[in-house]
Amino acid sequence: MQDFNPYAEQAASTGPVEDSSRRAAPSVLIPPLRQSRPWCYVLSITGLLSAAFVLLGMISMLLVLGWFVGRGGFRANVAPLLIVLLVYSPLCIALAIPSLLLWRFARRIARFLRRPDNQQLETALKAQRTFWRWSGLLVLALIGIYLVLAMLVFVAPMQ
Amino acid sequence: MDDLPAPADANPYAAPEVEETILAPVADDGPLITPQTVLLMRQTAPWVFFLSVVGFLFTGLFGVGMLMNFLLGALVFRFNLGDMIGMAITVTVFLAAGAVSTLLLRYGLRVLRFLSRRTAAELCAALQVQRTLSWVAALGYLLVLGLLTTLIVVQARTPPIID
Repeated sequence: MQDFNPYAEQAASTGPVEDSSRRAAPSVLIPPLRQSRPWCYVLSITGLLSAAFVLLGMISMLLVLGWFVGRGGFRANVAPLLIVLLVYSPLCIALAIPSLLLWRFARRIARFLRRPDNQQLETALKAQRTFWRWSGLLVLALIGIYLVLAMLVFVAPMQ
Repeated sequence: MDDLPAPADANPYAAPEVEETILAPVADDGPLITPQTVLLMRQTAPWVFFLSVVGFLFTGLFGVGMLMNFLLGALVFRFNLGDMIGMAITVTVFLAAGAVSTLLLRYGLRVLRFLSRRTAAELCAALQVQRTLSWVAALGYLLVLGLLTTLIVVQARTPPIID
């Protein structure tokens, strides 16, 4: 009892914090998320594979066209190279980024399934929101880029 | 607080108004849905609707292109295996795009219903539509990839036709 100091600073309480995000999430949400997870992985993997194939196709086309242009083909004009680059690189990005975000969503679902509280649910839903937002933005960008490209390729030569 | 002047038209006997913020959970028939969950779903909905509209536009344009292609292609169609697989790919893309767009619209509507009721059951219904959406999209994509691979194999094995 000699070590007891009545004037010592009180230790902060380390008990459970009353926070709604730490509470268990509604159990009805577990089955649909559990069943979504494998399909998210499938879509993510196929999307990444497609992006890799598009990248490979673009590189091989650039190599062939570069070789052709280097030998004086197309009057040594690099425009076809630029067109290939502008058509395929946005497509590759538009496939790769949502696939990575979908992978992250699937991982967050897995974490939620291991610890089904509101905080993990919110983290999973945040990943889902990011996926949809980026998908929308990339679709918008893709439409814009292809419209400009179509105008450059088809409309500009007519004038 | 006592030295604040009361507004002239204020009724001191009126019942106090409940400040109902749009994010406050109103569910009383189930487990708690946090305001953050509601906010996240609210921010998701517009993008889902946007992608659905783009999907329907793509499906419509693709459908018109497909019909024209079939009508014009009928003149030179040989009805060999390669042509049939090509047709199957086109029809699969058209059907998958239509189904995904419809499911996106349904998902968006379910999210809106959840935002108005804010119950766990409504969120569950929305996530169920999302689950259906993910497997339909995955199966459609796998089917198209499978058909494309088959087409490449068939075309590689078919000797070129010289008229």
